[in-house]
This record gives sequence, C-alpha cells and structure tokens, in this order.
Amino acid sequence: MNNWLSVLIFLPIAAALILLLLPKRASNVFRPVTIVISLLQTLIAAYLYTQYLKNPQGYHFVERADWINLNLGTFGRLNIDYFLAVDGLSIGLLLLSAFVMFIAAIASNEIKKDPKAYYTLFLLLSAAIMGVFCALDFFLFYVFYELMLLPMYFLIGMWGGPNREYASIKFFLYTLFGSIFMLLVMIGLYFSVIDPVTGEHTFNMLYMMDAANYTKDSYFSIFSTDALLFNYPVRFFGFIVLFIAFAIKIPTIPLHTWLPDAHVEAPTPVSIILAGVLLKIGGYGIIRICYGIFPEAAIYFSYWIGLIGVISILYGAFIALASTDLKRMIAYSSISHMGFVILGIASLTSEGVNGAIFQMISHGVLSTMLFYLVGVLYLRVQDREIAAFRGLAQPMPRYTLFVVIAFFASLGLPGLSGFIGEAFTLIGAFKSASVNALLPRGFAILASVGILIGAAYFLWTLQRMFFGAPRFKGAQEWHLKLKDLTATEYLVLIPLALITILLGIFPAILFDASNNTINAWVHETWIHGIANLKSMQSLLKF
Amino acid sequence: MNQAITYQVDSLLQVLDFSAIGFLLPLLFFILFSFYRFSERIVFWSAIAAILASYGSLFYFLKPLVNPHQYYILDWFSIAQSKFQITLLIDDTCFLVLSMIHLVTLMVIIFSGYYMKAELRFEKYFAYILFFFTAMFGLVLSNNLFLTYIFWELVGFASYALIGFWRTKDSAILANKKAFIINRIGDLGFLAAICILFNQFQTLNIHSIEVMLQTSPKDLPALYLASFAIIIAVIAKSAQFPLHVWLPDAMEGPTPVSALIHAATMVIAGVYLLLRIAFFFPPEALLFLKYIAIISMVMASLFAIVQQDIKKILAYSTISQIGFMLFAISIGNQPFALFHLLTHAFFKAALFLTAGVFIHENKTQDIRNLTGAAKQQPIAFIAFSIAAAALIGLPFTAAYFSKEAILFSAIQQHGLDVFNILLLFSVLLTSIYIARIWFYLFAKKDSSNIPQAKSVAMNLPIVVLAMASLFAAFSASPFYLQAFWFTLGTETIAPMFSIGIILLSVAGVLAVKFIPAILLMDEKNAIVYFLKNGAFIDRFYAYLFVKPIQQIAALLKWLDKHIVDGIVNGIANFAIVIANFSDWFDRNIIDGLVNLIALFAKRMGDIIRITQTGRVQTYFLLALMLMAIVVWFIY
Repeated sequence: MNNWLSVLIFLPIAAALILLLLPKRASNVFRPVTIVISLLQTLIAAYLYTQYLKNPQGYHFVERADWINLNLGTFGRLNIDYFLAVDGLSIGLLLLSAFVMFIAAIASNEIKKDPKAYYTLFLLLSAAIMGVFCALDFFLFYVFYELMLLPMYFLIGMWGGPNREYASIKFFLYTLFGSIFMLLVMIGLYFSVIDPVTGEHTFNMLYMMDAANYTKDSYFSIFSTDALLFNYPVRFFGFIVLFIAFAIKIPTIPLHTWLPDAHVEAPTPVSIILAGVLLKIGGYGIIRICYGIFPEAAIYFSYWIGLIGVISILYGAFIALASTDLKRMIAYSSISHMGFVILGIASLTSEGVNGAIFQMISHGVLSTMLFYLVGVLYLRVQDREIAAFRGLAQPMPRYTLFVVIAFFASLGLPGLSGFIGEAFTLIGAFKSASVNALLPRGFAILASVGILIGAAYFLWTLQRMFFGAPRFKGAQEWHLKLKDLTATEYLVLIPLALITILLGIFPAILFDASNNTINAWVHETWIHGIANLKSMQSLLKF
Repeated sequence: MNQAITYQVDSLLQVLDFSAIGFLLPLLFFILFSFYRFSERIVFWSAIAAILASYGSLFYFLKPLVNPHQYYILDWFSIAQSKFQITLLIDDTCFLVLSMIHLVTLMVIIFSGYYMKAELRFEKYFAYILFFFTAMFGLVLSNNLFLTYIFWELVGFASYALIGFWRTKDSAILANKKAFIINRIGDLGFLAAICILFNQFQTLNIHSIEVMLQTSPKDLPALYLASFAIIIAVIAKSAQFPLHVWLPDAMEGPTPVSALIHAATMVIAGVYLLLRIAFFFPPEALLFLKYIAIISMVMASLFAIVQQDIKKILAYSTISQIGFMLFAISIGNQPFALFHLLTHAFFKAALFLTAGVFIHENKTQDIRNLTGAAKQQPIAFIAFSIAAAALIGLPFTAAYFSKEAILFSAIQQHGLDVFNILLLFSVLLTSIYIARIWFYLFAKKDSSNIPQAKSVAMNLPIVVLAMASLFAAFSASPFYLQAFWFTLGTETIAPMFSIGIILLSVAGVLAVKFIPAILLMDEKNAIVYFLKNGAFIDRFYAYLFVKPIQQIAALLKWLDKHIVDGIVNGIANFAIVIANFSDWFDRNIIDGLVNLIALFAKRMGDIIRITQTGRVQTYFLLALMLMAIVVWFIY
C-alpha cells in the first residue's frame, strides 16, 4: 500500500462523518472512537517512521494526483495538485502530532459539554494537522493550514474558560492576519513558477525551491531586473510576509500575545494540542517554506532572525519568572523554548537545525506533559495561582514526581530530552560564526542565559508550590480534594515521561531520521541562497 | 598516552561484566526504590549489596584493565558529519577515585542506616544516594566531554534532591534551589567550553583532542577561552570563590549526604575534571586558577574559624581544601592533587560522619553545646581526632604525605612569594578552626549524661574512615611515602621542611588552647560578625543579581501586558472605532445622501404637485402665461 499518508489524513475525517451521524445521546461513544482513531494514526505514523528509517533520505510515501484543474481564460489554467510526501524534516513531526493527538484524546475526559461537536471538531483538526505536515503543494498546504483554524477557534471559544471569546477571537485574527498575506505570496509564487514538465504555472513547493523554474520577468524571479519594492527585491518581502505568518504560529516576540491568552482560556486537551502540535507548524513552515523557497532572503536576514530567537528566549524566560499563574508561566516558557528553535534554524548549520527539530519534538512531548499536569491540578480545585499552593508534594507525591520530571526535562537536565535540543541549537548557533558567519557568537552566549533563567523559574515554582509545609488557599476543603493521580492520569503521564527519558538517552532515535535530510537541506539552502543573492545583487543593485 | 589500547566496541556488552554490576545494579535499585515503598530493612541491605557488588566488580573486572590504560568507545549518535561517542577511559586515576567513591559510599550508606532510621521516605533517600553513586561512577569513567557534562549535571541533580530531602523544611528547599542555580552558572561555562572545543576539534573525546594537539599549535585562542570556561564550571561545582555560596547552605541536607556529596565526592568533580583536561590549559588559565584557589583557601578558612555550627565549619573547610587541590594543579603537581583528593575524601567523610554522631545524639549543631563528647561518644571522638590530625597534616596520617608534598613543591618552585605566604597562612588557620571544634568536644559537659546510642551502623563507618585516614592506607612507612598499591609521581620532602609545617600547625592548635577569644569568637566583634556572615557575599549577590533580575522580569511582564498586548488590543480597538465610524458614516452620510436625494425628489414632487390641480382653467391660464413668455423672449 502506497497511500498511507492519505489514510492518515482521511481516517479522522471519515470518523468525524460517522460521529456526525450518531445521535447526540450516544455521548459515551464519541471519546472511545476518537481515542481509537488517534491511536490508529499514531501506530500508522510509527510504522511510517520505522519504514523511513530504513532508508532515511529523500521524500517517501509520495502521492501525487491532479486535484483542481480550472480554465481561467486569459489567466491560463489553474493547476492544483494533491501532492503528499514526507522527509526527515516532517516524519518526526508527523509522529509527534499523531501521538500528541492521541494523548489529547485521552485527556479529553474532562469535556462534558456537547461531546458530539467537540470530538467532531477534534477529528477535523487532527486531519488538518496531518495534512499540513504532508502537503508539498502550496495550495494544498494552505487549505490544510486554514482548515486547522476553524476547529481550533471553536474548541477554544466553546469549551474554554471564562474569557474564552476574547482569547479565541484573538487567536483567530492573529493567525488570519498572517495567513492572508501568505495567500498573496502564494498566488504571486504561482504566477512566477513554471512546472518544467508541463510548462504551466504550479503550486508545487519543490519547483518553487528551484530558481530555474521561475519565469524570467516574474515578480519573484531571481533573474528579474526590476522586481524592486521600496528599493528592496520583492522576494525579500515575500520572505518577510511568510516569516511573519509562521512567526505568529511559533510564536516569537512581539507576535506572541495570543498564546498566553489562548492557553489560559483553552481546556486542557486543547492547550495540549496548541503547545504540542500547532506551535511546531510555525517552525516547520519556516524551515520548509520560508527557507526552502527564499534561501537568499533567509541568509540576508539571518542575523535578525537569530536576534528574534534570542530575544524570544530571554523575554519568554523573564516573563515566566514573573508569572503568577502556573499555566501562563508554562505558556511563556513555551515561547522561550521555541526561541531555541528559531535560533537553531537561523544558524543554518546542521547541528543547529537538527537541534531545532529535536527541540520541537521534545517540546511537543514536554509541553503536553506540562499542560496536562496543570490540568490535573485545575480539575481538582479550579485554581492555578502559584501562590494558592504550598507543599503539594505532601498530599500528591506521585503527581509531584511527574512535575519534577517535566520541570527538569524542560530546564534542560541531561538525560532528559530538553537538554539535547537546547545543547545542539546552542552548539549550532556558536558554530555559525566560524562556518557561515551568519550569527555572532554572542547570540549563543545570550541564549544560554535563558537556560539559567529557565532553571530559576522552574525551581522557584517547585519550591513555592510543591515543597515546604502544606498550606493551601482552600484550606481543609482542598486537602480533601487534592488527591493523587488517577489511573487515566497515569496512563497519560507514564508514556510521556518514558519518551522524555528515552529521547534524552538515545537522541539517535530522532537524529537518525532527520540528519541526512537536514545535512542536504543546509547544504542546498546555503548554496542556492548565496548564488541567488549574488545574482540578485548584480541585477537589482539593492 | 600513546601506548594506550583503544577498543572500538559495538555495544557496551563488551564491558558489560563490570558495567552491569557496577553501574546498572545501583541504577536498578534506584528505579525500584523511587516507585515502590519497601521496608527499611530491605532497602538498607539491598543498597549495601548493590555497592558491595559494584565494589567487588571494580576489583575483579576493572583492576586488571588498568595497566596499560585503555579506551572503550561506543558510537552513540551522529549529527552533521560528527559522531558523538560514549568514551570510557580506564586507568589508574579512574581506579583510585572509583575505589575511594565506593568505600565512602558504602560507609555513608551503612551510617545512614543509623542516622536516617525511622525517617519518612527512607527508601527515597537511598534511591537518591544510589542515583548519585551511578552518576558519579559515570562522571569518573567518561572520557568524552559531552558525556561528562551529562553526568556533571546529574550529580548536581542528585545533590539537589538530597539537600532538599526534608522537603517540608524551608531552609532546605531554599538551599537546594540555590545550589542548583549556582551550579547552573558553572554548567553554562561547561557548555560554552563544549561549544568552543567542538567547534575547534569536531570531537569531544578528550583523548582525540589530546592526540590532535600533539600535532597542532597549542596556543589556539579557542583553548584559552575553553580553559577559562572550564574553570568557571569547576568554580561552581567545587564551590570556589566567588561561587562558593551554595555549599555552606547545602549543609541543610542530612549529614551523611554532606559527608558523601558535599565533602568526599561530588564537590571534587571539578578537581577530577581538571586532572583530565588541564593538559591544554595555557599558563594564563593556570594562573587564574591559582588566584581562585588561594582566595578560596584563605577566605574559607577565615570564615571557618568564626562559625559556631560544626557543619558550616566543615563545609568551609571543604572549600578551603579543594582550593588546596586546585592550587596543586595550578602549579603542575597533578599527582599530588589526586592524592590529596583521596586522602581528603576519607578524613573529611570521617569528620562529617562523626559530626553526624554528635549532632544526632545532642540534637544540636552548635559546637558550644557539643561538649563532653570525649566521654560520651569515645569512639566517635577518637575517630574525629584522627581525622582532624589528618586535616592538619600531622605525621602518621595519610594527608601528611599529600599536604606536605604540595606545600613543598609550591615553595620549591616559587620560594616564599605572596601565594605561598598565603598558603602557609591558611595552613595555620586550618589548624585553628579544627582545633576549636576539638577543644569543645574535649571539654567536660556540665549537665547529666544523656543515654547514648550504640550501634554497629554508627561506629563501623567512622572507624573504617578514620583508619583510611591513617598512613597505612596508602604507604608502608609513616614518614616517607612508600606506596604499595598504586603509583604516583615521586616527590621527596625535606625533613626540616616537614618539621616547620608541623610546628606551624601545632602553633595554631596551641593558639586555640591559650587564647580564649579564639575559642569563643564573640559575635559582638565587628570582624567576627563580618566573617561569620560570609563577608556578606550572599547579600551582595541578592542586591546585585537576584533583585535586578526579578525587577527586570516584573518590568517585562508589565511591558508585555500593557505595551505589547496593549498595541495589539489598541489595533483591535482602533479597528472597532473605525468600524463604528464607518457604521455612523454609513448610516448618516451615505444613507443620509440617499435619503437626501429621496427627500429632494419628494420635495420637488410636492412643489410640482401644486401645479397638478386637475382644473382645465388653471392649465389654460398657465399655457397662456407660457406662451406670453415665449413671445416676449422672441421679440
């Protein structure tokens, strides 16, 4: 069978359709069905991952078919392909996404309101996420990308906390703002790129990555002599616009303010999906699309991109230090940790980009764990204020054990997954100065200060909330409510903790899949980028 | 180095015989104890069994591999074109340090059976100790800086867990947080060194770097930077000035933990690391190390003589003694730095464990209340006396060799320069602070006898460690080093020199005996107050770093909420205002215009309608008037 990726995408859609047909009173069926479907997806993704490892280079599981073929009269024909494939960059993220969705499905037991709508949207979201990581046709990517927005909007807006409407609209508008401009660039690229086989315009991303496929006088062509906007090449603006779209998703400073609000309002499983998967689409998009299609702009702006990464790391860490709400603290720590991803990508070294991918997957697992742990507490006493708790280790020792694992993994204790990602993004950022001179060494050093502050806020929180003599805001009533973990909670937390340890001790599990792809990617981005930059500088004289 | 044998192994199975027993067995017990609650007896005996088995395998499997030393290399993962490998070096140094660690761990575990008896979470305590043991084991064997870094942080984590073992005790949970964060600063130094060296050599195997340096110039700027970065790591881990502040606080942990981690093993990791990689250090870095070492030694001994808390005195003593080892490295006397590391481990562990007995039996840590020990805990008192003699460096102890040799080589190299005068000064201070404790212990107790515990678990470890502090553990002769079970460089000490040092130390002891002010250390004295508070370095850091960082964080939080998010909300509000305005404009202007036109049409209609009377006479009149006007215009 060669269309596993389609199965991965359409399995949840089929399940969603079946759920829609079920009557509302069959409310105890929805969650098991969703769990089974996402477990199946995880198993398929794991199978694909092991298959990929047998020959870890190039694109695998390619599916390609005509999808939309419209005659537009004077504009020519509109060709959109159904083009799916995965490589070392996406296969790990695909597996992570399937797994996080599985965990989120289990963690959805707290959802009581309108389960039919919830699980239908959940499955729709799952399909869209799978699609985003598999699509290699820009239009198809865009469709999946926008398709994620809708269920996410409702999941936050309908099942969220008291201020959910504000948060969900903020999330929606932020992302839409990015994607509208992405649409413009996408259309611009379509009219610039020619399929070398058929001679027609194409949305194929792989063709967009090759300078030879651009028609000579098009806006985004490298060989254009007049494609300037405010005295800078149009291609640079294309890059910036796409970068902003994905930077909102990651999110980086200063486009991050939707994230804390969304997290604070979202129910636990939605927070898990948001931090575990959706943020990674930003990092993935930057590597695959921004850097892939506009390598020269990536090189040209790498200093600024690296700087954004460093500022995100420090800024996120500082605000996490000052946060008084546990969930908000973890949301800001996410911003800090995703800053390492940006920094690693900007270094354009194999160590840095491999580290960035590792960091994304590790953060996916860890943020899932962290948000779930917050949910466990919130479910018991409906409070998340750090100051409301003290000495939680006493009534909830097992819970504290998992918190310690998650916190120490997040602050980069070796032997756990967070360390490898951070260490290699830093090694890459440091190496950049002597390999390609894109980032100054100071960036790596500043970023490492973020690790120090990371230790400070996690340990401070441990000290304030979990250790010391027990004292709770809700006094005796809370003592009764604060029971240790239930069976379901163990079921969620144990695999997550094991994966964190496994990845920390055997990082080859991920590096073996990504290394070849990333080595080639770094090489090509660098070669193409420099060649494009030279030709554009001589033709456009900017 | 070149005659070493290197094995490229496909899996650790090839060194499995000793790693399985030595490394994995304690790890297994750690996992078991962390998740399940066993009875105290099972936990205690299985922990002892694990360490004993490991100890046995050390002698049985590892000892034969030591000569010639060998490398075991296992591919771990690869990234870009570089391979990261698990590299183990098995040699004399590693064997000596490992056997010290095994002995001290074993004794501390036995002692903990007495000290931690009936403690809640008894099994967790042993789990953490075993975890620490495993991490320390790995740290000693590793010959790859990436791997070393991993264990370097893991021992720090074990230390965090054990300092804060009594997790409802506020001072303990503040101390372990502080220890971890300050060690993090050192870790960043280590990480920086890793970045620099990896960037330079594309490998982190210490042996490979060594080989590469044999054929390449040694004055690379990268090596300068890396050596300074490593020294920062060493300063934090080995509690040297200015990052020493965590160690006195770490004494909040259980006393056996202080003996094991914060005296004998973990804190010497910095010394051990330098023994492994100081070969590439340029003279400037060694000089920097010398400054750090001498400042730490003098400062810590000064702090030690004014303390009243027995554990704090010993903690400062550890800082000072590690400074002494680093001093030895900085003057190129690596073998005796290693030797002092070993002798110090035994006598300091003995000092801490005996202190543990006094604390446990008297329920206080204040030396002024620990009187009467000579009578009430005679075994512990004798053990303490032997260990104290070793700390001072009196003959018949093992530390006599290590201490005199380092002092002798220092003075032989540089004569009586400022460094060496300070060095001798700290030797004097050392005998003063330890004599203070001793005289209090020796003094008679006023109050009635408290019933004293007697158990093997209490006495066996302190006796064994006190014995290990004696010359016979290392040398056949008490007066000159005649090593019989390991090899060190040869260092001869002049007898006259030795007598001089002994006299200096005895002078210190006598000063305590005959000058009551030293014994008392009244806090009303400004200098005593200043030193007792650690020269206010802690408070200085609080104002210089901790407060500003919290303020920056609070400021950024405010900025984020009001400015960054304010702009976003501002844009949103602006859009709403525009929308409202458009709405008003649409309602009033656009629609107004439409209505106006309609109104105009209506008014026009109204006016015209006046003419539409339906009466023929009016129409006829109007027609006549129109014709008259037309005619009038024509003419």
